[in-house]
Amino acid sequence: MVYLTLGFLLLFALLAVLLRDILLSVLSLAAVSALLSIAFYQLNSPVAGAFELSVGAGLITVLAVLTISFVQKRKEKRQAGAVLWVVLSLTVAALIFFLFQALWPQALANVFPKTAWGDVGEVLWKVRLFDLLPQILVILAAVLGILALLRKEGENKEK
Amino acid sequence: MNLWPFVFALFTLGIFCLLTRRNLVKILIGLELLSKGATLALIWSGILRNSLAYTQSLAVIVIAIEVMVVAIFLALVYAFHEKSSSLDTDDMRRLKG
Amino acid sequence: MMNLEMIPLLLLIVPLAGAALVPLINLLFSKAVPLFSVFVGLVTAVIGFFLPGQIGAKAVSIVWLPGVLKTGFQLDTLSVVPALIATWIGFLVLIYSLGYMKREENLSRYYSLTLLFIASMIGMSLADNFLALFFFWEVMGVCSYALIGFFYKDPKAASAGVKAFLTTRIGDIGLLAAILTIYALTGTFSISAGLASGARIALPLLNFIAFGFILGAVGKSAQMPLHVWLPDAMEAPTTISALIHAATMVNAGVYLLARVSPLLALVPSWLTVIQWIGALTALLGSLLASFHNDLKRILAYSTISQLGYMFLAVGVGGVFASQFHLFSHAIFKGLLFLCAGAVIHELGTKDIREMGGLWKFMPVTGTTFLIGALALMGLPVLNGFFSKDMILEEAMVAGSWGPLIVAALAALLTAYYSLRTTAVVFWGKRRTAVHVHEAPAVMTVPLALLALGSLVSWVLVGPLTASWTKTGLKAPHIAWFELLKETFSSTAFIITACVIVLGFLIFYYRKNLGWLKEKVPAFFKAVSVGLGFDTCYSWLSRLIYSASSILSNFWEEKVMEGINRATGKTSVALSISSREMQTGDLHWNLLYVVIALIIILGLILW
Repeated sequence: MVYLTLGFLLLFALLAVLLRDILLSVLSLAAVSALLSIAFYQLNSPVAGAFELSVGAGLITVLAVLTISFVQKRKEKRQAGAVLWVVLSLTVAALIFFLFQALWPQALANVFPKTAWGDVGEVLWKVRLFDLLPQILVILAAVLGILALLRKEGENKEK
Repeated sequence: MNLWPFVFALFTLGIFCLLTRRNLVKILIGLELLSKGATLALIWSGILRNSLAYTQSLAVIVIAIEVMVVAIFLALVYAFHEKSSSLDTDDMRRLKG
Repeated sequence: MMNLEMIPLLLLIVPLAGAALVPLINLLFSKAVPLFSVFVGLVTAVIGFFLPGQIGAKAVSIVWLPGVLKTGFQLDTLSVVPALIATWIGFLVLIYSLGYMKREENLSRYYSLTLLFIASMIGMSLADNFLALFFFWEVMGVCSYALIGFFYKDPKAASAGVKAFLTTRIGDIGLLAAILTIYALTGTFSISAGLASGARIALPLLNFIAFGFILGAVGKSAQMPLHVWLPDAMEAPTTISALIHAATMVNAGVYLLARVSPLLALVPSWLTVIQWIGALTALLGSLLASFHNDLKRILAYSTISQLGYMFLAVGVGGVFASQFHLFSHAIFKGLLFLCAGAVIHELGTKDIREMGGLWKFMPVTGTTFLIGALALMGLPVLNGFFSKDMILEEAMVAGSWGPLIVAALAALLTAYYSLRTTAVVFWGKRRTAVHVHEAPAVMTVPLALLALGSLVSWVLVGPLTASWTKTGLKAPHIAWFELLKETFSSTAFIITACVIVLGFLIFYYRKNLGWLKEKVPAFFKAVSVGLGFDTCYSWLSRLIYSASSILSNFWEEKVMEGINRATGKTSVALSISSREMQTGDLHWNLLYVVIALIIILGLILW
C-alpha cells in the first residue's frame, strides 16, 4: 500500500521537475509533500506525517506561491496542457486510492506497530534535547538572512 | 518490503533537477526533493531498526531545517529579482573568479 | 692550634680571597692596592712554608657534588714543587711589581689577576681530581690572556692575548678529550684512580688519551708546533712574563705529563714522540733566540727551548729530572726576566741593539743577569748545570741518541746566546744616550734573592729526592754531595763540558764568523721570521675564515632566501591554477556540492 503512495509521489515529482511553468511546479511539489505525509502515516510515523503535511504542503507552498507572485510581474503564461496534466493526475490518484480501499481492505491495514505521540515527544525533549540548540541557531540565522536579503535598496542609500 | 529504490529515485530526481534547470525556483524544487528523499530514508531506517520514536524526532528536526532553507532561498530569489529582474542562473555570473 | 690538614686549602683560599678583595680595596682606597697584594702574597708565602711538612699527609677536602666535583688535594712532591714555586716566586714578583708597575694605571686589575693566577696555579698542581685540574688550568689560561692584554689600548697586546688564548685552546681541547675519555672508561675523575686503572684500558683508547694529554701539554708549554703564542705574549708587563711565562704556567704542561707518566709509560711510541718534540723544540728555541734582537723575545725563545729539555726528560722516563730542571729553570728564568724588566724600565726600549755598556750604571742588575745567564748556559756549580746534566744523563741511559744529539746542539746554541745577550746588553760600549741608574731596592732585592737561589738551589736535591720516594714516585735518593760526585764523573758531563767550551768559543769569535751570513742568507732570513710558523698559522686561519664566510653566505642567500622565494612562488602558482574553479556559474558550484556529497556518502558507507 505504501508502494502505491510512493509511486504516485514519484510521478508528481517527475512532473515538478519537467514542467516549465514554475507555478505548476510548485503546486506539484505541494502534492508530493501531501503524498509523502500520507506515506508517513502508513509507515506508522504519525508525528512525522503531521509535521510534513503542515510544513510541506502548507507553509512551503504558501511561501513559494507568495514569492512567485511577487516575482512574476508579467502576466502568467499558462500552458493549458500542463494544468490538465496535473488535474488529471490528481484525479486518477484519488480514484485508485478509493478503489484499493474498497476492494482490498487488508492491503490498507497497518502492518507496523503504532508509535504514540507521547513517545516521540519524550524522545525529542529528553534524548535529543541537544538538537534543539542548533535548531534555534538555524532559525535565528534564517530570520537574519531573510531580513538581510529583503532589505530595500533605498535603506542602503540612506546609510 | 523495500523502500530503498524509492529513496534512490527521489534523490536522482532531485539531483537531476538541481543540475540541469536554469530557473532559480526549479533549483529550489530540486533541493526540496532531496530533502524529502532524506526524510523518507530516515523514517524507513527507523522502521528497519524498530526505533521509530527516535527516528521521528530526527525527521521532525530535518523538516524544520528544510523550512528554514526554503525560507532563505525564497528571500534570495526575491532579493535577486529586485536587483536584476530575471531568475535565470546564466545571468548570475558576478562571482566569477 | 691550627689543624694542619687545612694548610693546602688555606694556601688555595688566601690568594683567591685576595684576588676577590683587591677590587673592593681599590674602591675604598686605591693607593693601598699594591701593598695589600704584597701582604696577601706574604701570607701565602708563609703558609707555603708549612706545606713541605705536609707531604704524604692527608688534607681536608670539600665535596661539592658527590662522586663528581670535589676540591681535594694530593700532597706529594710532584704537586708541592710547582705550588711552592708559584707561591714564593709569585711573592717575589709582587714585591718587584711595587717598583715596576708604579706608574701604570688600572693596578687593581693587574694585582687581582696576579693573585688569582697564583691561586689557580696552586690549585692546579695540588688538585687530586682531573676536573679540578682542568678547571684551574682554564683559569690560568684566562688570567694569562687578560694579563697579556693588560695594555689593552695597544692593538699588538690585545691580539697577542687572543693568540695566546686560541693556541692554548687547541691544547685544552685535547686535554678535555683525554679527561673525559678516562672518566667514561673508569667512571671517576680522581687522578690516582685513573692512573691506576690505566692498564685495563684498551690500547687504541690509551693512545688517544695519551695524545690528548700530550696535545694539552704542548699547547700550554709552548712546544713545537704550538709555540707561536709565547714570543708574542711578551707584550705583557715583564713581571707577568717572569711569573706566568717563565716560572709557572708554562710549566703546567710539563707537570701534567709528569703526573700522567704512568699512563704514558704504557704507550712507549708516544714517549718517543715526546722526546723528539722536546729535543726539536729545544733546538728551535735556541736557534731563534740566537738571532733575535728583542730582549724579551730572546728570553721567550729561551723558555721554549728549556721547556723542550723538560719534555725530553719526561720522554726518556726521567720524571724527577724534569721536575728538578723545572725547579732550576723557574728560578733562573724568573731572575733573567726580572733583570730584563729592570733594564727595559730604565731604558724604555726592548731592542738590545740600543743597549750596551750598562754594567757601569746597573751593577746589581748586571751581576744577577750574568748569574742567571750562566745558569741558563749550564755552567758547573750553578743549578742549571746540575739539572740539565741530569736530563742528558737520563737520555743516555735510555738510549735515545737522536734526541740526545739534538739536545746537545741546542745546549751549544744556548751557551752562545746566553753569553751573547749578556755581552750586548751589559758589556761593550754604550749605544744609548738615555740617563741610566740602578733600579730601586724594591726591584733589586728580589733579583739578589733569585740569584742566590740560582747558585744554591741544587743543594735541595737531597730533601727533594727523599720526599719524592716517600710518596711512591720513582727516583733514587741523592744527597747533594753525591750529586756533585755523580755529575762530574758521568759521561754526560763530558758532553756538557764540550758544549760549554764550544759555545764560549763561538761567542768569543763571533765577529769572525760573519762570513757565514753571506754564505747562507736564506737560512738567516728564515730564522728571523721564526721559521715561518707564524705565517703558516695566519694563512691557515685566513683560509678557515674565508671558507666559513663563503659557506655562511651561501647558506643565507641561496638556501634560506631560496626557501622564502620558493614558498611565495608556490603559493602564487597554486592560487592561479585553482582560480579556474570559480566560474561564477551556479550549476558548477552545485555540481561540486553533489560530488562532495557522493564522496562523503561513499566514505561513510564503507
